[in-house]
Amino acid sequence: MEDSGPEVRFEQVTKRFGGLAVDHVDCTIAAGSFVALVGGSGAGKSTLLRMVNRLVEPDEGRITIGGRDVGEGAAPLLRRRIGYVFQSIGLMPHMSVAENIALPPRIAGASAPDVAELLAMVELPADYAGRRPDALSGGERQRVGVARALATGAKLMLLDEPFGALDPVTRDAIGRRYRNLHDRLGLTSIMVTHDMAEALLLADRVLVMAKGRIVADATPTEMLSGRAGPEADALVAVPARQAEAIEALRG
Amino acid sequence: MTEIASLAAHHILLSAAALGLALLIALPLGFAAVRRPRLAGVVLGAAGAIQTIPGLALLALFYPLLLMVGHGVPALGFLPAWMALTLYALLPILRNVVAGVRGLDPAVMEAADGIGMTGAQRLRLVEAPLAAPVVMAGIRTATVWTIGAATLATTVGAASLGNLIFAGLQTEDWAQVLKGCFASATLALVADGLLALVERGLARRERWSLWLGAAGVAIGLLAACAPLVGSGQKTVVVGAKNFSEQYILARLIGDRLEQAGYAVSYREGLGSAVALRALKQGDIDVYVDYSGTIWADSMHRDQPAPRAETLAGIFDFLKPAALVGPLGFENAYALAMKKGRGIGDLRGLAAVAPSLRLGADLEFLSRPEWRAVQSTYGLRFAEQRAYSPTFMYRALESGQADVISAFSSDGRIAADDLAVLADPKHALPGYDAILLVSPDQAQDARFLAAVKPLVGAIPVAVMRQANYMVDRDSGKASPDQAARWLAAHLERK
Repeated sequence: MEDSGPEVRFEQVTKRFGGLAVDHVDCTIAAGSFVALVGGSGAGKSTLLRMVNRLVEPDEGRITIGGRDVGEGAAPLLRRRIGYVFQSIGLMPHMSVAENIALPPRIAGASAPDVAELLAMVELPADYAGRRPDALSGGERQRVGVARALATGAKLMLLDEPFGALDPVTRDAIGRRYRNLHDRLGLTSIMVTHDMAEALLLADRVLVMAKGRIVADATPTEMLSGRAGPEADALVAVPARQAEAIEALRG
Repeated sequence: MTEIASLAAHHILLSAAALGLALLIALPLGFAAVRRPRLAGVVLGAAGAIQTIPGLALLALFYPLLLMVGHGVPALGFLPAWMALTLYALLPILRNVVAGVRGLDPAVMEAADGIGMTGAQRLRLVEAPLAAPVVMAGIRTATVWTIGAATLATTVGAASLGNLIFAGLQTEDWAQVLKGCFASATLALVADGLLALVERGLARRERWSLWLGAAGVAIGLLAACAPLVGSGQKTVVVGAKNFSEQYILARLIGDRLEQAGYAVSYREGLGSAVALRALKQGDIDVYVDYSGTIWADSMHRDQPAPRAETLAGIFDFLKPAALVGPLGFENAYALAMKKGRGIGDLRGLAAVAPSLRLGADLEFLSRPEWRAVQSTYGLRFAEQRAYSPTFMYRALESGQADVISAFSSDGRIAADDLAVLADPKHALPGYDAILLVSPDQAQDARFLAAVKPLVGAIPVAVMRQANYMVDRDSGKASPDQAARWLAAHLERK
């Protein structure tokens, strides 16, 4: 657990679905950092993320992880080295929690993971191991999803709106828990979200996307101080205004 | 009861074999088609097109197809039935595989890809187990269809519960028809129930119900296999065409063979051309045909010949199958009238015909036999009308017709006490009932010894009475019973 997650580098990465979904993106995500990708619907953030583990294949450009081109070799082998957490979770309904968590190492032919320890990492009781996914709440399910992503010991985590379907209280708690895990395990995390508040509170660095391009790239502090450009300001303005309004109500 | 059990066993094995092969084809094809829309279109389209062919026609089509294959591939019996039923079972399985996999939660599929499953792993760990209940529902549909359609296998000479239905239909023995229907419906319901347990076990992940259903299916299949092993006797197959006399004669022959120590099965309801070809190929071992049928239909002779010449010609034509001999009666076209009108033969009839009315069956007036009689004797009737057979006899009885066309061994000739007019100029071809055996059995002295006593042993009057026992409307006998009666009234030589 001592070594940190890998660096991820995008070089002129482009993807077209009819029009340009991702438009010649150049960007380097530092090893061990927590980066949030924000932007409106159709800004290209999910597409950019999914090109990292080749759920989407780029039309142009290349992506490297720790200096290695992701295009080398078979996609399943690449994906086994990357944790993937997404909004609809996708737990196998015919498998127990323990079987779900142990599935990635199992398909990779690796030794069985310590399910109890993984459950403890996501703060679920050990006796959840034998339960079926349909016996869990949404928040519990997504914590199992995170445990599954960590089961192979992957150091790079891709999170696509991971907490978007959860209620605000659960969402806040699970978000902070994940951030702690990120720090403890020394991960590299790339999280897509449309919620600027979440991005500001969890990430070290926020990338704002619009029309397939990165239009702002700044730390949360820089974002709040209005030094990240007009698109970023527009997105930051909403949670800032809400925070002020709540403060005003308190009197 | 033993007959029904044996037919049910054949029915089960035929259905199971068809479903087994259909599964071997449809499961891989279905899973392959899921992500290939064009393949799915072609495969589902083809299976759907097959489904629109009536079951009976599909079975019948395999007969000429397999004949074209040749090389000793049997065109009758198990093989064509197996293939046709297999094709019939494909659609529901294919459709449910495709629907089952396409209906899976996209999130689950994305997770499968996202954690790095290969296509094969995704199939084995995700798609197959999750689609299993829907696929199982398709297999249930296919099973019910197949068990129902398997009753039609009788028509291509494969034993099934359809034997009871078709034989009952021909001899108007409705109790037997019902027995066959009831047995096959019960089979379908039981199979459906067992597979429903399996489906439930898969859907709710209840092991006990999965195993209970699977065990029930296994026990059923084993029980169906039981009659096939055991005795170790060689089974000989007696063929029959599709009318009462043929059913009776088949049972008569079969009973004799059983007494001689053979295990006997029956292929009944065969078409005329089908029966002879099946005999030559050895698909059936013995059956009764009629000399005129083979002379005209198989040997394509358009002129009747004297009896001895006809039989000698057929004898040569049939080799290496064999004509054992004539049974002693004819089932020929003849003209019949009420007794006591002082007319003994067709020459006598010709003199008074202009004042008489002829009632004929639907076919007779357009057949060569009628033209031959007309020209040979110069027959002119005051009026001639076609009737369905039952109404033809009624017309004669009620006096609407004076003369009718008849089959010489028809039971109603005896029952209505009719006179069959002699044919001194031999204008009508002979339709001697002749006993035919397959090439293999023609070499087998034991087999020939068992059937030979029937040669020349059945006078037409006895055959008529036996036919009437089965054909009459009330107090019907089964072909089995009539065959036993016939056996007791054979002419001793």
